Formats: sequence, structure tokens, C-alpha cells
Amino acid sequence: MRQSRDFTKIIRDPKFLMSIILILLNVFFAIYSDSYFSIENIFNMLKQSSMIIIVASAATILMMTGNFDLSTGSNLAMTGVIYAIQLSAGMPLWPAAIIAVLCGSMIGVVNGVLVSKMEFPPFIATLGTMYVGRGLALIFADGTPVRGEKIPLGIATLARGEFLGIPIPIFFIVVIVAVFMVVEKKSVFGKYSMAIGGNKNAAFFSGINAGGVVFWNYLIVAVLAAFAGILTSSRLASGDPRIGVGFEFDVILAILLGGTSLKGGKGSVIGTLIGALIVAVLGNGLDMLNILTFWQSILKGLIFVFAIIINEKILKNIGKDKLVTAKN
Amino acid sequence: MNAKSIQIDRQKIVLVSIFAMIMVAMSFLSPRFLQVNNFMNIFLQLAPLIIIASAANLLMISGNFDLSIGSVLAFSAIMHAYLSKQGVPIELSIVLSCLMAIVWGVSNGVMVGFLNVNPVIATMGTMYAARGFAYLIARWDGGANISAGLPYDFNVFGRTNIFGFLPIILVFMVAIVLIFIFIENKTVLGRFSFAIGGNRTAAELSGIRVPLVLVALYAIVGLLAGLCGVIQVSRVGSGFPNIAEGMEFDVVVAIVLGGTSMLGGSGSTIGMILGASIVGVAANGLNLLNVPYFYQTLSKGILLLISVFADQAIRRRG
Amino acid sequence: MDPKNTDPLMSIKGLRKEFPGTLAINNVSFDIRRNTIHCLIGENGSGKSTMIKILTGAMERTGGEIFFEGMPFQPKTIKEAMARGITALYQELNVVDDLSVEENLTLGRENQRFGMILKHADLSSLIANLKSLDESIKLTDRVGDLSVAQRQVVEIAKAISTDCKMLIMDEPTASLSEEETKRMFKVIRKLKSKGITIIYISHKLSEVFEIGDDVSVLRDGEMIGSRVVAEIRNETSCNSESEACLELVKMMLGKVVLEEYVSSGNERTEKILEARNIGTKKLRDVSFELYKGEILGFYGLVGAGKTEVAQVLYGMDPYTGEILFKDKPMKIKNVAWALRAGITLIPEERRIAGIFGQLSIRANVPIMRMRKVMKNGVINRNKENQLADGFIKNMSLATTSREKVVGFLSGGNQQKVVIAKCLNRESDILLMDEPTRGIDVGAKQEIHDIIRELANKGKGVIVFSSELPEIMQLCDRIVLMYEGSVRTVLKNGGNLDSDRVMALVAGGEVTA
Repeated sequence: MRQSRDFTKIIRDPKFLMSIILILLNVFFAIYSDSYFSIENIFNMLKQSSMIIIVASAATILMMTGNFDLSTGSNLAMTGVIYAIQLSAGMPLWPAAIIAVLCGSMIGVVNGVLVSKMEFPPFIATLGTMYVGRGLALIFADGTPVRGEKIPLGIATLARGEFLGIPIPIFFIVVIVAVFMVVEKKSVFGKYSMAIGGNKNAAFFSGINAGGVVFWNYLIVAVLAAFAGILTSSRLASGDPRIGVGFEFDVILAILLGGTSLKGGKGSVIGTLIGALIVAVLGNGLDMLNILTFWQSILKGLIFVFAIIINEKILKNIGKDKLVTAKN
Repeated sequence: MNAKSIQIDRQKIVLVSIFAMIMVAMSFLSPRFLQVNNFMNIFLQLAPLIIIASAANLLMISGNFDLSIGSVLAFSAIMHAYLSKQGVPIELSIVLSCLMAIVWGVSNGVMVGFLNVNPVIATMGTMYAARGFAYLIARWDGGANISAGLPYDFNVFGRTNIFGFLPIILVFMVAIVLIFIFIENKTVLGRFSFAIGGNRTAAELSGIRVPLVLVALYAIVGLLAGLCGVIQVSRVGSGFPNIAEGMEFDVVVAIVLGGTSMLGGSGSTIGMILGASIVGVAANGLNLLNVPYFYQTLSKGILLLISVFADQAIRRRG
Repeated sequence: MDPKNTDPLMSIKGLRKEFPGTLAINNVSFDIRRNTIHCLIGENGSGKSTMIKILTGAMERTGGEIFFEGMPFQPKTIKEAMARGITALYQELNVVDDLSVEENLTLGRENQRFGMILKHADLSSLIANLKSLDESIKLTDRVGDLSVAQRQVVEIAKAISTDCKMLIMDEPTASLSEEETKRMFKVIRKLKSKGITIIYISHKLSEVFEIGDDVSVLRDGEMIGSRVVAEIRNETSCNSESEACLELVKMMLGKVVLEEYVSSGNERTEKILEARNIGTKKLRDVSFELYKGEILGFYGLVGAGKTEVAQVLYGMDPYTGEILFKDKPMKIKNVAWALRAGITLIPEERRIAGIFGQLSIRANVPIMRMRKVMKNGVINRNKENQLADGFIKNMSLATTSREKVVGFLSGGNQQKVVIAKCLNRESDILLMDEPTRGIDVGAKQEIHDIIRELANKGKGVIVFSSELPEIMQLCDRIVLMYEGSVRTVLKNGGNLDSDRVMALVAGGEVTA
């Protein structure tokens, strides 16, 4: 709907390059490793990256407004801890989950207020909540993972269960990505988010309440991070306050790889999906080839910088010429 | 006197008073607080942070920042351990590890200064890459970390005490701080950093070679991160690739608490020391009171938010 | 359109706007007739932009009255003004590049249900609006891919779909080619045919005659005259538009009260700079020479290309043509090259490009040649102090201490700091772009004296200015610019007729 059928436009779309990379990687690994295309392997890949995809889908819309969130990892841990604590105190699954998510969304409220109302730079605001969230997680859990006999076995279903032969987390991925794709392309909220990041003045003159939109974005990201925390907690069958360090970077990595600009404006949830998949495929494929995990970190860094540079510099023809544009 | 300098002084006064309050409170709450030993401990803990933050402060004054600090530190630590274990003479190993840290820094600087890549992206890439190499090198050595098989004099460097009682890292800390106070006030590098951060356009039009300055700044940050890594690993006696995770954020907290603006153009080394000290003393106090370490994480976050809030309030009224 | 209503759409009476220390608008009164294209012209500092801010609701007036459609008009916010039907289009386009044309047109007014965007109820009328202005734009085009002119059309289409009664266009043709300008005029005429009244701000006087119905001229915050364009044309009773333009220029510039031009008395012996056939996007075939010890002036109206020339010389813009230093050809690729060649620029916008507002005078002054205040590689505070004090004394900043933060100085003092900073570079050639803009008379004089002193010391100085008295007072020779090219180079002194100068920069014929 937004792009014309022009061929050059397709090439200039960052998703193009990313899709090619994704396909190439898949081909490469399929050739070099036997069991690459087994269902089990693919499911594994998707399960491992499910947390990132879930949170990054919402964070993509946030980044389209020109903001970002460093507190998602701490949120994930804190919510997981709160969930586990309630369960080990005997609370039933559903209410515990709801309360935990509510707590996690508080972080989103704080972020939203700090950034949109009090005009904190997003870096500082979400850095602060990152520390606070992490601190609270550790405090609540007293420093160690919250385990307990009282934690019902059913807790693991969410993360390890299957439905119709497909692991449940994958359903979540599909649903959430689909939801946010709709938000991005067809909702007023998505359009306004893009407008705010693209041209603040234009948004203002069109009567858009930028502060409100940004606030809700932070809240939604927090809710999803909290949800991811519950899922993780399910998988581990415990609430670990130490997990999720660096999670926010993986989220940002997936979003940026997918072609969303750090400055805001254009963005794509599908792109984020591709970005997250590239990282997942890389990790999985290298594992299968018995290549050390550390290379993944290195490769992550290299691919990241390369892809961004190619996207920004070459494909979009952004040159750094004049220092001051003349008005006369 | 004019409004702006009053503002900055007001900021420092606020900082000093907070610091004083914490000190006073602590000395009441715990008898062990006001002891030389304790203060030594505080600064031993804080030393790497203060060392790196001195350079990172100047970098932020120029309007940029570095997310790869922790990873470069870990990288240098492991590299030093690895090289020493492989038989490289210790002095040479130290130099090589630091040189490699400089390379990471220069690459950051080139990306940000010459290629105009966003500092978040550029240094995030380095962060991933350097950390990855750290793990990799540990693996080459055969395990998850390097703790056995190091030469017997490996610890000498890190555990050296100047004059018999001052740990070398403290001496470095004081030296680096003094150097950076000097740089900030008395060198072209310092002057240009303020200029670039304050008004990049005017800086370019005044003939300042902005890309070169940025490369220099990033290189220095890298060097100091590497140096701290080397000292750490030497002091502890074993190299773990996962150290200093999140250190870059602690550095930001110290710098911002100290009054440096994230937009660039203003800040001071002394302010940064005050900021770092507040965090360090608060942490130490909590320790002495047997409060679990995780409350420190919480208090770091609260301190950061409050100080930025106060800073904005002051600016708005100023 | 109500044929019976001959009342003006907007009536401004005695408008006044005060700022601390200045009177930006002083007792301005004029009417804007319904359904006309009303041109508003004036040089920099005339009060044009302040007026626009008041009309669009961005700023409140200090005094006077405004009536819109017969009712009092005193908007407190931009949104209020927009609700009354007044919209403005600025040079920084207010469209979102990443959205499509349709999305931009419906931005803020989507037809929605449960937060989902539905097909717009009024889509057909939106399309009609758009197509009537420019048929080539498709609703599905991404706005960022359109040309500047087309983006403007999208913004216009959006504005008129909101029941806009008066559209204020601020320099709409500034970045358009000739072809695009013609098309923009068609668009504007179509708007007029829809009953919309347009305030058209431009510095291109020829446009006033091409498209304007009425014209109002502001100067120094006062309304000099508000005339019907057709009448001006009749009065000057000539065919060439340039004569009519001269009439306007005279209104814009007023009676030029000139002080005596005092020749610097320097012999023009050594040619230090020569430019041949300089061309850029805006400049065409600009050639001139600069001699040691002389003050060369570049004069022309806003938009004539003066700043472009300065930027080429300082390495800020790519160019075609040749530049020679002391008869040696040299390519100026960037600012570093220019500095090395011995050229320094004192830029037009001191706040944006000239001063380090958060640093002190002492810190600003030596920054282009730090060597001067260093001893053994280290900045020497004493030397800095001496240097700063020296300049404070020489430039009569007597009441200021060197530690004062430059951002808080007055405009005139800030400019002096910029000059001091650039002078410290000790270049042979100094370019000064609007050196005394926004500066009070006393400081102006001081700066002029400084410029003369520089020439006497053997520097070559080029002053780019849109203030005729300044040019005629200071410069030994004057390059007259008009729409990107040099009209002629005049030698100052004696019988130079300011009327003739004005005619030339307004596009008149070069005679003799």
C-alpha cells in the first residue's frame, strides 16, 4: 500500500537486503549441515528467539516515534520473579500472571511519564528504570532464583507445551507479530507513531497528541516485556532475577537490522521479524556446525554495523556534504 | 558572575551537599564507615569506574558516548591473561593488550567521526564484537576462563603497592583524574571537546578537525578501558570474559550525576568524581549496613532519575 | 464566494509588537482584500516574520487590533488560528516523508473505528482537491519521493481541505526551479479561484508583478505602503517590470541616508584573490577580483546569491569555475582548504555557526589559532587572558569581563566575539557575511571602524551585506548581485547614485 511497484524502491528497502541475507544464511547452513531443515530444529530456533520477537514487535512501533527502551530486560526478570513468588505462595496461575504483568507495566508507566511528560532523554529515563527494575527483581527474589515445591507443574505448559504439534511460544510469535503488523500498517496509533518520529511539527499541526502516543508506546512495550517475563519464568519453572541482562540490546539489534531507523519515522514489524530471525538462524546454524557461541557475538556485532552502514550510506544515498545550508 | 556559572556552581553545591549528607548519615549508622580502610575500599571499588569515566566524560562533553567500555575491558583482561599464559613477557603482554584496546577505540572513533554512524549503533557493534572475542579467547585457552597456568609473577602488576601501601590502581586513578582535569582546562583537546559538544557547526566552521578529535577521544576511552582490564585481571589473578557487564551504564550514571549534559558542551571531571563518589559511598554504606547488594542497583536507578530531574529543574529555572 | 461582500477579509489596525529592547512592529495598518493574492515584502529585519507569527497565532501582539471576517481576531494558539481558517505553509515542509500522500492528507483526521483506519469518508473530495492542483501526484506515492514542489502541493491540498480561508505562504518558490515556479503559480491561481485568500511572502520582486493583486511593503517594523499592483504598474507607465520593481525597492529600502564614503586610500596594487566563472546550483558565472588592502562589497537583495558566494569561497559548497590566489589556481574542497589558503569567514548566523555560546569570551577568542595562547603545548591562562583583554579593549567591550559566557552577551557583543575569534586566525582574506545584522547603531559604527582598520593593515576584506548604507559607506568597490549572477562591479566614491544601485539589484538594465 505504501510502496509503489518501482523496482528501485524495492532495492532501497532495507528489508530487501535483510531477506537476502536471511535466505543466504539458510542456504549456507542447509548445505553444510544435515539436520538443518528438520522441524525440530526450526521450532527450536523460533522458540529461542520468541522472547526477542515478542518484545521487539512492540518496541518497533516505539522506535518509530524516535524513542527506545533499555529497561525491557530488567522488566522481564522482575516480572518473572513476581510471578514465581506468587506461585510458590500458592496463587493460581492466571491471577498470578495478571498481577505480575500489572507490576511490569508499571515500569512502562514510569518510562512513559518520564519521557513524554518530563522530557527526559529516553536513554536516561529507561536506563534509570532498567536499574530500578533490576534492583527490585533482585530484592524480591533475594538474589537467587525463586524456586519452590509449591510452584505447580502446569507452569511449564505455557512455554514447553504444544498445541496441534506446534510449540505454544510459536503461536504467540505468530499472533503478536500479526497484531503489531496490523497496528503498524492499519491503525491510527501506528500511523501517528510514524508521523511523530517522521516530522514532529507536522504531527503537531495535525493535532496529534505526541505525548500521549509516546506514553502508550512505552506502556505497551512494558506489557509485552512483562509477558515475556512470564513465558521465560514458565520455561525455567522458576523466577530468576539475573536473566535478561543485555536483552534490550538484542531487541534493539533485531529492530535496527530490520530496517527501522533509530531516528524514527519509518519502521517495519516484518523487518524486525527478519532481523530477529537472522540472529536466530546465525546462532542456530553455527551451533549445528559446532562453531563456538562466542563467534556469534562477534558476528552479531559485525553484521550489525555492516548492515546499518550499507543501509544508511549506500542504499539511501545519504551523503555528508554541506555544513550549513544557505537560506539566501 | 552571570546566570550560567551560578547554575553550574549551584549544581556542584547540590552534589556536594548530597555527598555530605550521605557521609554524615553513614557515619552515624555504622561505626566502621569513617575508617581509612573503608575509604580505601570504596575507592578501590570505584577506581576503574573513575578512570574510565574521566575519558568517557570528555567524550560525552563532545556530545558522544561509548557503549563498548565493559566489553573492551573484559577483552583486554582476557587477552593479557592469555598472552601471559602463552609465554609472552608480562610487560609486552600489557602493552599489546592495551594497544588492542586502542584499536577498538579507534574503530569506534572512525565509525562515529568519519562515517557518521550513530554512536549508539557503532559502539553497540563493538560491544558485541569485543565481548565475543573475550569469550573466544577464553575458549582458545581451553576453558570458560583463564585462571590456571598463569606465570607466577602475573599478579605483580595489579597487586603492586606504591610506597608500600597504595594499591597501584588507586595511584592510577589519582593520576588519570589529575591528567583529565588538566586536559579539560589546559589542552586543545579539552577545549575542542567542549566546542564540538556545544556547537558542532561552529566547530567545523572554525576549522576544528572534528573527526580527528572524536577518534582521539574514543581511542583514549578504549585505552583506559584496556588498562583497567589489565590491572583488574592482574590483581585478581584470573581472567573471566564476563566481567564488567553493564559497566558502560555505570559510567553514564557517574557522568550524568556529575552534571555533564548528555547533549554535550558542559561538564567537568570534578563533577564526575562527585557523581561517582556519591554512588560509591552509597553502595559502600549499604554494604556496611549489610544491605544486600541488589539494593545498590535499585538506588543507582533512583539516584540517576532524581539527579536528572533536579538538573532539569535547575535548568528550567536558570 | 459572496459577491456582495467587499469588506476586507482581514483588517489590521495599529498593530504593535514589542520585545524587550526592540519594537519589532510599529503601528502597522493595512487591509487584506477578500480573495486576493496579497504579497508581503520586506528585507530582513522588516518585521515580516514577526507579523506572520502573530497572524498564525504563534505569538501574541502587544497592541493594536486585528479583525478577521469582521470579528476580532486574537488567537492564543496556532490551533485557534487554524480553527478560524488561517493556515501557514513554511519553507520547512510540514509533511511526513515516510507516509503516503493519502496518509498525509488525512493525518489527524482519519476515519477510524476501534482505532483502525478506514477508508476516508471524504476521499473523493480530497482527491479532487489534489488533482485540481497537480494531476501528476498519486495518492499512493510516498511523500518523501516527491519533488519539493509536489510536496508543497500536498501540504497545500491538506490545508485547503480543512476549510481554509486564508493561506499564508512563506517563500514558496525559494527552492523551486523556474519550471516548478510557473507550475506553483498555476496552483496558486487555482486556489484563488476556489475563493481562498493568499498572503504571499517573497523576496523575489518580479513575482509580485507576476502573481500579486496587492502588495504591502514593510521596513523596520513599519508599513511603508500598501498598494494595488495594477496601480503601480500604471503609475510607472512603462513596459519593463524592472521599473515597477524599482518603485518597490525604493519603498523597501527607503531613503538611503548615506554617510560620506571615506576611501581607505589604499592603492590597489596586489591582487590576492580572483574568481572566474563560479557556478553552483544558485550562482551563474560569477567573476570578480579582490586586492590587498581593499574592502570589496557584495550587495543585492535577499536571495541574490551573496551568501552562496561566501560559502563557495569558504569551501562549504561544491562549485564549478576557478579560484586563484595570488594568480595561482587553487581548488577549495572544504573548510580546511579555505583556512589553509588564508580565508576566514565570519558567518551570517552567529548563534548557529559562529559562537560557542556556553563558553566564555576568553575561551572563544583564541579557538581558531590555539597556538597563540599555548606555551610548551599547554594552554597558558595568562596568554589567554591577555589576548581576550586586548580584544575587549580594542573592540570597546569595556563593560564586560572576559569570563562572561558568550551566549548571554548582546547581539552586537556576540558579533564582536565572532570577529575577534576569526581575526585571531590572522588570515589574509576575511569574508564577512552580514557583519552588522541585528546590531545597534553604536556597535555598527565600531565594527565598521574595525573593518577599515583591517583593510589598512593590508588584509583583503569582502563584506556581503543587504544593507545599502553599510555597503556604500565602507566598500571601495561594489559587486552588485541579482538572482545568482553579477550585474556589474562599481567603483565607489563621488558620484555613485544609490538610485542606480537599487535599480541594478532589482534587475534593471546596466547602462554605461
